[in-house]
Amino acid sequence: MTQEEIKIIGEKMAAEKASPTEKLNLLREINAIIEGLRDDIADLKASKKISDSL
Amino acid sequence: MKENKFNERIVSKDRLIKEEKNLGGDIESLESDEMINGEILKESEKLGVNLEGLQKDVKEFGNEEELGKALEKNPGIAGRILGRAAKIAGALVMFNAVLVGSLAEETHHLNFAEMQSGDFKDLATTLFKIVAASGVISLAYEGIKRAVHKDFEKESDKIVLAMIKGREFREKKGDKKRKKEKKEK
Repeated sequence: MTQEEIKIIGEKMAAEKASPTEKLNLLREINAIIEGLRDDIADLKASKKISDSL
Repeated sequence: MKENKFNERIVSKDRLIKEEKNLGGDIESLESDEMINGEILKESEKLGVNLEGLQKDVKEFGNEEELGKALEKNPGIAGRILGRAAKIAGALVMFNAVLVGSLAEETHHLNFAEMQSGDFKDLATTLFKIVAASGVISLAYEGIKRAVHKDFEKESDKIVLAMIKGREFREKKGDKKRKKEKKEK
């Protein structure tokens, strides 16, 4: 889902016009983003550990 | 006379088939809505767990300074985080919060290709703000969950009604069949 698509569904949800499928898709997308962020932070921590040990 | 009765029977049989098909369609669509609502609940719960985890991860990292420095040393990861933060800002439009508004502005303002040294600290700040906003996100999704529960109740009422209708319909159909068989005997 692109940033623009996410924004459109987000706006629809704010107006309570999103269908159950759209709600589900948005939730899945946000979950994937948050999981991705957690992976990024884990990578950052690992790289920090390596540079701290050098 | 015989021909008329025959025609009536054909018409009524067609109608029966049509009604049965309509009812089947109604139940099918309700069942698929129920399935989607079930998935929404599962995803909402998963989101709650993910947000808590993200909050913990970011806090464990220390402060914005530390995170900013680490991001600056790892521009590849910083680029990925910026992309995801911008998407989250888009999704947060629905929450209509000041914090979210400023978050959206920040992510739009940060252009990865032109990021300067100080911008990484801004990105770290944005990440901390996402974590701060996670409470708002959780609350909003609690609202969705509650709405879904209400829909569930409404939907299950509809399904029960449709099933009662279906049973009555089949009973009537069976009655007609039995009467017909009796007559034939």
